[in-house]
Amino acid sequence: MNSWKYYSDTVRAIVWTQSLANHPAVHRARKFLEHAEQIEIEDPPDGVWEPPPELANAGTILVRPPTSRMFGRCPGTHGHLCCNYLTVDVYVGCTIGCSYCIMQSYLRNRTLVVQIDSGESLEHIRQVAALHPDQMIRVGTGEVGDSLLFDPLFDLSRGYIEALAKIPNVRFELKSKTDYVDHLLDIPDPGRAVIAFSVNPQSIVDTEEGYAARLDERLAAARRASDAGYGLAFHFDPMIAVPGWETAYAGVVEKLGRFRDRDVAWVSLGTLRFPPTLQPYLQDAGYAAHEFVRSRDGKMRYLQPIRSGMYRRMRALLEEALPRTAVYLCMESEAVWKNVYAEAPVTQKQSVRDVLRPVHIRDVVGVDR
Amino acid sequence: MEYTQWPIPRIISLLEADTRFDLFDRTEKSLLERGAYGLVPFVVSADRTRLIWGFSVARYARVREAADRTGATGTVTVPVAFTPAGTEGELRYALLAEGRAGAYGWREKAKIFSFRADFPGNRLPDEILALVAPEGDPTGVIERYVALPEHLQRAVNAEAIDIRTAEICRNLGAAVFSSLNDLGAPLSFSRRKSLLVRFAELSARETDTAHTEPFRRQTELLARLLRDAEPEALLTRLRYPVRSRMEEVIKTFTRNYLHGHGIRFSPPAAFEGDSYDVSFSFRSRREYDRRVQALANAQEGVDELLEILF
Repeated sequence: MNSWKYYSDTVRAIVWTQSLANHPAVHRARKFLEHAEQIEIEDPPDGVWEPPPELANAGTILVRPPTSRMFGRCPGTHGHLCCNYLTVDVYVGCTIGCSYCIMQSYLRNRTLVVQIDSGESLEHIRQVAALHPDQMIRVGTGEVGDSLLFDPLFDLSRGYIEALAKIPNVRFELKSKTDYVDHLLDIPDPGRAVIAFSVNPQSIVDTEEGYAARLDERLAAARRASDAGYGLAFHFDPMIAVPGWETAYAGVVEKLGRFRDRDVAWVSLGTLRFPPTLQPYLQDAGYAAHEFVRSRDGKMRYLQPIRSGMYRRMRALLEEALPRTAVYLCMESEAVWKNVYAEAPVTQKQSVRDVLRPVHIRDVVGVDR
Repeated sequence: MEYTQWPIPRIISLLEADTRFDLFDRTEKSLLERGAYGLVPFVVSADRTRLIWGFSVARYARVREAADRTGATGTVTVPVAFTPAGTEGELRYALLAEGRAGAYGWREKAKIFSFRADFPGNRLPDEILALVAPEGDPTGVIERYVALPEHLQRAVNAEAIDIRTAEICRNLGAAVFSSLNDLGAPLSFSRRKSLLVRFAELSARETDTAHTEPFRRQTELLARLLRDAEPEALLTRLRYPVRSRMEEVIKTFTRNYLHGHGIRFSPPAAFEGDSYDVSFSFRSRREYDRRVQALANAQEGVDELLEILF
């Protein structure tokens, strides 16, 4: 997956606010986006810029200061256990085009947004880490966009990695479906930063994951990142119950088993889930004809026995392939946790408990979300 | 608008010329049957070479005249109106003459919207849109209709199914769809829709699983449904096998152990969770003993209940 070709194919305009005109990230992106229309705008009084119709699409990247706090926590979901991921919304929006992505339903015609603050989000992370010195703080940029898709253009992750490298209880996680890691490999000390890859069998990548990098490309990037001193993580999310999924996913786990388990900080498992509003967009996908129920949070999920069966199988495979790596379930109920692990989340092994232990941010940002 | 009188044969001759404006399926039949075509002005293009409105009236006139040789063929004249030159004027007059704003069928709307290409921005002018669909711009939904295969367009046009259902049925073979539609004909609109959607989804999943040629698999499924005394129930079981099995276990348990004992029993909502609810009330020692005994007897079915949740 060639990042520069991707940008020349998909980015048609870059727009930045006057206050960021001299920011190095803007200079860098403008240099690489010579083919694109380049527009400077005044900082809107309320921060919100309404693009003209010809720019109101995903071919436009808007670089601006944040309109609200960038640092927060993954909202989790009602009735399901949360993995306590803290988030920094640097990149908002994604153009990879995965068929199952919620952005298909509500971000389709939005501009991509790159948010650059004056260091507040870094300061928030430092404060949370200082307030919870005995707790692992997992924080990343992969909640509302792909962490690395546009990072070679703006190089914004570098600042976070370097600034957080010396804080022992912070694991800064970049989550991606790309293999765009090379611009980060020259950082001499990435500290405890983690580069995470969403993974799926190649057959699913081919049919459902748009412009995403091939599985082998992602794993090759993981290898390069690991060699450069980064921790790794893998997210099987969403797992899709395609015919023959057992064999297909076992093949991916087998490939992950070629990494040393001490290099893989965590692996998450999450089966396909989507809001009912996405359903019309899924009609051509064969997987949409599976058996779904509306869960307590309103999202559609596979029936509980189907999900549990998938998790049990994956857990067994992963414990064999990466015995010391924490494997956790993303957005799952306590009942499913208990079934899959034969024990409650609170009695899991230490590495899983670390993931599930709530981190409170109220003292830093005033609210716990 | 300029008016003149033309003999009917001249009008009829335009039927063989340009039919681009042959847009309407439902020009008032009773008007034609009353022979009132002579009272309705035909609309012809400014260059007088094309019929803009009145195709069905002209066809009716042709039939009438063939049947009635004693009539005044060639001598009866009808008023003819001429449009201003250009698509916009022609289309406006056709729509004004038809006068069914908001009541056009899908096929008609698709034809009308095919004129979009003649206008700036590939969009019908607001004045024209108001004559077609005063309730709002239906461009998006018309595009969805046009994208459907012909047999589904026909079904939507006949109001047998809605657009969304048609889209879901897109991968069904035309013959399979037709048989299914016939099978669902006696059902209400919503049950017919459910039948079609479930079949299409099942077919998508089964085809994916078996890697068979899709239409063959669809035909096999259809044959199985047609043989069954309760095709809707069978289709539900096939489409939702796991859930159907879970529901069957619950039904069997209730029937075998709890029926008639005054015990309320319910699985977790949507089978999400790990516990069942059982409750009862009693007014006497005898009632209490009877309910407790029923629950004691039910023990042998409990393991299966717990197993199905995971």
